[in-house]
Amino acid sequence: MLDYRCALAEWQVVRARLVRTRLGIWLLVLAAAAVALPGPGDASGAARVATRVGLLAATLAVAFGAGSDADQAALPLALTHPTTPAAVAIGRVLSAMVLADAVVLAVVAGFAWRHGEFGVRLAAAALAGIAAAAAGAGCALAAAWTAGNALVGALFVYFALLSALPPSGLAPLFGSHPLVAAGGVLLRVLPGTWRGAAFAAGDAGAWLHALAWAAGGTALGARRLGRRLA
Amino acid sequence: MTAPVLELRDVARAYARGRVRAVERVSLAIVPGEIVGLVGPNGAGKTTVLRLAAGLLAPDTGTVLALGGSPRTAAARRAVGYAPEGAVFPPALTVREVLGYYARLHAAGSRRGALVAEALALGELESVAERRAAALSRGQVQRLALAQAALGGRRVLLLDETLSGIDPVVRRALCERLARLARDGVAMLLASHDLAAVERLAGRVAVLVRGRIVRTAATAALLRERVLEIVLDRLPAEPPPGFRITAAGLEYDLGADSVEAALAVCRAHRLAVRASRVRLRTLEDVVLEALDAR
Repeated sequence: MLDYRCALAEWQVVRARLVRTRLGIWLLVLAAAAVALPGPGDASGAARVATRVGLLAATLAVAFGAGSDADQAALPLALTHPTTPAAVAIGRVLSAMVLADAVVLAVVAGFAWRHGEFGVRLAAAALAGIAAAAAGAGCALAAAWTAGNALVGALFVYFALLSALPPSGLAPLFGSHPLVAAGGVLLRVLPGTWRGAAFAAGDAGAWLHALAWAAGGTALGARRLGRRLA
Repeated sequence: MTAPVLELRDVARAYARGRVRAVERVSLAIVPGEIVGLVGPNGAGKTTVLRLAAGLLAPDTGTVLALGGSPRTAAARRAVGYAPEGAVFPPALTVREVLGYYARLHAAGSRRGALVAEALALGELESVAERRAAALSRGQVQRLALAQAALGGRRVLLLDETLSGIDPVVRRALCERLARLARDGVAMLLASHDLAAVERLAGRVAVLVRGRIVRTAATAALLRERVLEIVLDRLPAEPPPGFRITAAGLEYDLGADSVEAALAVCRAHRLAVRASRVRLRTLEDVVLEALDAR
């Protein structure tokens, strides 16, 4: 019960970031670009766009809401109050997820408005975006509290550009170099846009992967925060 | 006898894999309502002692007890507040929101508003309540640090240079509020270079030099002693036994001696006394003596 309330307290920090920094503008730009750019086409295309938006929005929300130097410098003082590293990490991840989910839903609503339809295809795309947002938020928090916003920036670029490529698509493009194999492993391990179709299709493996990143990233972030109490 | 609310027993802590010993065998106990001043030069280990007491650092050896248990328990965090020097707050939040954020960790529902209002009043922060934390002056940050430390009716306050960098009017008001908190039973460990504030507030003073407490005594007892200041025409190469050389001449702790006896010693050493006066000892004398003794 205590942790639940403490986790909710973190929303206040992220909400202030949303309305008083460029986070809100970036999220609006992201949503507008996703809706305005050429249409998602088939069912897997809509899911892929929603997945990318979920990942990017969650990464932005974490970068602004938890990753900045000033925010990180303020964390130890919070731990002198009756909260825990786990509650702080859960609160920051949930807050980022809420923002990212709102962007995903806005984008899907934009698709529905633009194409004059709302059916199972877009509902599945929305769910894919929500799953991606959870995975992206956990992954970005672990990155932010391990190596700061520089790593979160790298993650953002990866989600935006590289993660659309499925691991199976690397070899035909780049051959069988060991670096290509390593890239394939990275694509499998990290959250990525290429999982969008699997999310939309309800693939249990893809959903478990997202869940593992949401929970694991949060746990890793909490552990990093706890280690500041040396 | 009242049980201490905060106790450090033979606590040691080193940094840089043991190469830098910040604190060595520090023992200190504070009872409810007591204000203990922790004074010493830069790098003496004052902040480390406070961080150990707050549970932000773990001791290498020894024990830290807050309300009889570990300072890292939820109960201890509810009861022990820490106001660090140069505190950093979430920069996008206003002062009211910062306190609201911490209040949410202490209480649910309508009680939060009362906690925030109390904290704003304690820190004299009402006039800047809607200002963002990132836009606060150093003194305002110190006041916000104090306000969040006291938030939630804490029973122990760990204050690191909290009264430094604050204008005299607000400082006086804060001193009065801290004294009132102490009368209500709140214990405080006040680390400060502002020795006048420590003299004014602390009932007991611990002098920390190179990580060790070299002297602990009641402030009143320390400051009751008389010091003879002597202005000389020319400074001697060596002071007479028991005297200290100062910029203008000599100083002598009178103790039970008379002024005439001390001046006679000067004359016996062929020192030309231009003027002399007796003053009460200050905390600065105590700290400087402790440093000289080391």
